[in-house]
Amino acid sequence: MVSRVSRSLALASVFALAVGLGACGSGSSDEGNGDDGVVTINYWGFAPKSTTADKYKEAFEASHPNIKVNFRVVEITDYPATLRPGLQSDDGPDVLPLAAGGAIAGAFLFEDAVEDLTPLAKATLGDDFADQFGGGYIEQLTVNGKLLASPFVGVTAQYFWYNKDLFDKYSLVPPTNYDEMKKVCDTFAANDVQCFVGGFGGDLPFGGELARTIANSIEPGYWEDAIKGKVSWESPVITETVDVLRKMQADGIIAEDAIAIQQYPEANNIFQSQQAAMIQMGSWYAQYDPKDVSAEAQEAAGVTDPQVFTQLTMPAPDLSGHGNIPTTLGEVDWGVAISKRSQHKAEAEEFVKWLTMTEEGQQFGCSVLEGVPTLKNVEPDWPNLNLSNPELQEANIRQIIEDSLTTTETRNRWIGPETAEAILQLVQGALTTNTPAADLAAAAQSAAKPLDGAADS
Amino acid sequence: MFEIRSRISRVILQVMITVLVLPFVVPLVVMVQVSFSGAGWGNYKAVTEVPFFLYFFRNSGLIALGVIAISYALTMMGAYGFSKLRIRGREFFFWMIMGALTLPEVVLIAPLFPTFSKLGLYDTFWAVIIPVSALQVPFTLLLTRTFVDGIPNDLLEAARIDGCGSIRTFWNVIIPLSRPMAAAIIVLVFINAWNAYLLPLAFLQNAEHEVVTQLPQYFRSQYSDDQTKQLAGAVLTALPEVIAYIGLQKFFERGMAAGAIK
Amino acid sequence: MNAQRHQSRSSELVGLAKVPARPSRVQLAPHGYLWIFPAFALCVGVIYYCVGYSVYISTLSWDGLSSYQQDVGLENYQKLFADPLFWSSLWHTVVFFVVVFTLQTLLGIVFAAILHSKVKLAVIYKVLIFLPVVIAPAIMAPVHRNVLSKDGALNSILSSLGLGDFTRSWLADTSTSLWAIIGVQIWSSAGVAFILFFAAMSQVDLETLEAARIDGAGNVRTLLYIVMPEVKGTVIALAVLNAMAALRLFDFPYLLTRGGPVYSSEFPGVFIYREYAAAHAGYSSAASVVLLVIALGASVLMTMRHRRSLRAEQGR
Repeated sequence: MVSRVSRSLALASVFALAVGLGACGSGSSDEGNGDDGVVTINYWGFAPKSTTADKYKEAFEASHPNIKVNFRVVEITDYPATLRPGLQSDDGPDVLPLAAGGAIAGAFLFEDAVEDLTPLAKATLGDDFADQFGGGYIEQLTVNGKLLASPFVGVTAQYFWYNKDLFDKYSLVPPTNYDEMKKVCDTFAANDVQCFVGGFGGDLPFGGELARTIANSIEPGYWEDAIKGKVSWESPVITETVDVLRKMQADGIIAEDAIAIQQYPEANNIFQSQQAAMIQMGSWYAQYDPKDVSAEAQEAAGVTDPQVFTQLTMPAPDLSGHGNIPTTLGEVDWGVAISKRSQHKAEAEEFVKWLTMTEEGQQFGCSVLEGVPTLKNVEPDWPNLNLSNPELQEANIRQIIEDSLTTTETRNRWIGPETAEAILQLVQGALTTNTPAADLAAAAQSAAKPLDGAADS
Repeated sequence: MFEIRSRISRVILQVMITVLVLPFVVPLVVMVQVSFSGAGWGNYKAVTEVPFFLYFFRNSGLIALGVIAISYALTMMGAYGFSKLRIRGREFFFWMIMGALTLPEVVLIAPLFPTFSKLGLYDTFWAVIIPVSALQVPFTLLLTRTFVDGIPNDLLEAARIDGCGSIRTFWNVIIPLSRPMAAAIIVLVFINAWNAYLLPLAFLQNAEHEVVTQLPQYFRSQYSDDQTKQLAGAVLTALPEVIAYIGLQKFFERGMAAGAIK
Repeated sequence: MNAQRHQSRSSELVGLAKVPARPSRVQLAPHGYLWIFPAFALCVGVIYYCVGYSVYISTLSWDGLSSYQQDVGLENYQKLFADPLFWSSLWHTVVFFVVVFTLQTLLGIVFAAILHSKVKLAVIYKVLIFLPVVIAPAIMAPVHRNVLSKDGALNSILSSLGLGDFTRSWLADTSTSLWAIIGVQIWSSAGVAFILFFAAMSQVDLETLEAARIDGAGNVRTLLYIVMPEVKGTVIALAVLNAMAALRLFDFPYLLTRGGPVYSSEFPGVFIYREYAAAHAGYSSAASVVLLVIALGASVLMTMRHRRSLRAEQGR
């Protein structure tokens, strides 16, 4: 009996090794320069999600029969561990999405590892290609004269999205300043509805977004200048921002749990399940406008019987009382880059060209409403959007797209890892400690680090 | 272990263990609750409809088998060597192996990536099996060595007197007597291999090679995070591990060890 | 047969402790080098190769991606030792280790002992305490956030027990974030301790237990004087494993609090990851190397005492 166990173990291991080896041999295509001249390019990235990717993969492969796209989801948090080694080897990705800025996937972090796409853009769209893209997108993805990624979708941010049905139910209108906000929240609280939900924990910068909203109502543009290093974080603007944040928390507008939850999934679920009336999100949130996506989101939030409700944006209120409506931010959300070490650059270029520089490709981004189209003259497929409230929401989305063409302040373009951390600590310090605001501001000043070229921009 | 002398002792023990187990159950209950909320069974259906769903289980299984085979073999041999055999500088070698326990996974990827790439192992299961095993062995070796220490040397003496060389002693004395601990480490290694996330993410490329830990990816994106389906996936993913655990329970029974000596 | 005779002789009790019948003559034991070689080759080969790489990177100022690397010698280490965040993360690790190890061991032993006895539905308990081990932290994290939230399960239970004053948002409070992570870790790893003690307790000689019972030893004394010595080795092994895990800890602190709020639950693993993600590859590697040294030192210290006492006991 003893030896039988050992023998079966030995057999099992031999079998495993054999099968494992076999499995590897058959499947591993190694960028499949297959028998029939079909080239496979590898796309590793945080966006789009796999269901959307399947659609554009199908469309691309239909019109490009010799190229296959192998799409892999790699979340932003896994970028450092996987993408960086991958980009330094021949076995890494051919194409990848890059963001305008931010701590991890900002294009400027990848300057050395990706190709300059200027020649491709010029060849496809002409010498004035930069003007064909909206809102400064090309500029935002250009570092040292090199176009690091081709813009795919843009983002506008700082809106407060609100649940119109809930507002209508209690005869409320979107607030434009702190007092109105407080009144709205009191009404909701009396009716057991959470007024405002925000998830400031985790990696995403939503706490910082709210702080910026407040700062921009105190002195427009100050926050961006601080990020760029043109002005100091140690300033009354910042200390007042901290005070307002604390006041919002004391008044129950910011929940005690805010630092403990994340925007996704918690805050998003709370809003989509109609337990909260307002949430601060950007243009990407329009993806929940269509009926089916909204129903899916409600189910994901645990609602067994999804309802149709109307979500719309309102401009962020002036929370500091200085009388300035915070400006909408806008920048490219992400674009597609080509790795310098790609073994199939020609095919990769075909893909980038198709996705980002043609209307067909752009439709895949803007028609799921995950972002605003980056090519001017491209519009979402209005008749087929299946919106929860077509009249109001179509107008809303048109407004968002219009905003994207007129914004003057970027969102993450100039935020590098150190500055992102500094902002995060500022917000956490404001909401979970009693540290004097001046100290928090000082800490932010010493931790933040402006990016190269920021001061001149 | 405890002798149950009276009805009351039995009840007390039962109550005690129930109370102690409750905190462990609460998050599990929440997890299952969430996995059934929203679309209910539809969540589970959605999970099974992920492309290559069955491949994930197959791949994870293959990797786990490979890791278990290598870890078990190397651990038993190493534990026998460190515990019962003569080695000059034994502790030094042992500590060197223990040092491998200290590295977080993320530190392994950057140096191993180009190596595997050059060796042509990229996108093969070996690229996952080798580092995962290397991370398991120090921990299993530590535990098994301790366990083998507890095997009375007289048994080894007896085997030697009976004419067994070190190999036969290993096969006929050490291996059978180590079954309880071997079962424990097989379960733990299986779990670690089954739950491996970062190494497969880094070293496996094609969708057909993906493993179960990639399942949540299909229900998450930059702007969405569907807990109901991810947790349904987690329940399904956990099933093989629980089955393995229950299946190996019989090796933990007391007395098996003693009775197995010829 | 010979084996059985030897076994029963070695079961003779002197007092309540088990003593080998005669000292072993390891002098005649064959060489073990070939036996340990495969494990050595795999672990040292793969892991130390990565360690070497880390050591090399730790002397650079590099973003982890570009071809621009600058040799800065030991500057990263200097900066590291002057970094208060690194020290506080180490302190958190110490607290974490002490509490988690103690509670894990206690729970593991108690569970293993009870479940070795005849309780009803033992399999269910065994599965329930082990399930947390099976589920990956990344998956459980949102569930834990849910349980630990202001209106989560933990607070509900506290309220229903009349401890409503203690309710709070456990992860958002700087004074409780560390303890929340400790609690979650105990939850997820007590099952490991359980399974190991359960296995170790299988080694306890049935005859010894019988003899002790005949001699009138109660349950507690049986536990303390017969079972405990048998599992002492496992306790030490668990201590080493916990120390390694504590030093390497990343998943729960990162997923639940990201080391916050305001670094109140910062751990070296999170520190290393954050620095690496922030394109400070050299600094991050320096921290990894320091961690490696600490871990090795700790495991050496812990096993040295145990080995010495083991050797004395077995007359080697």
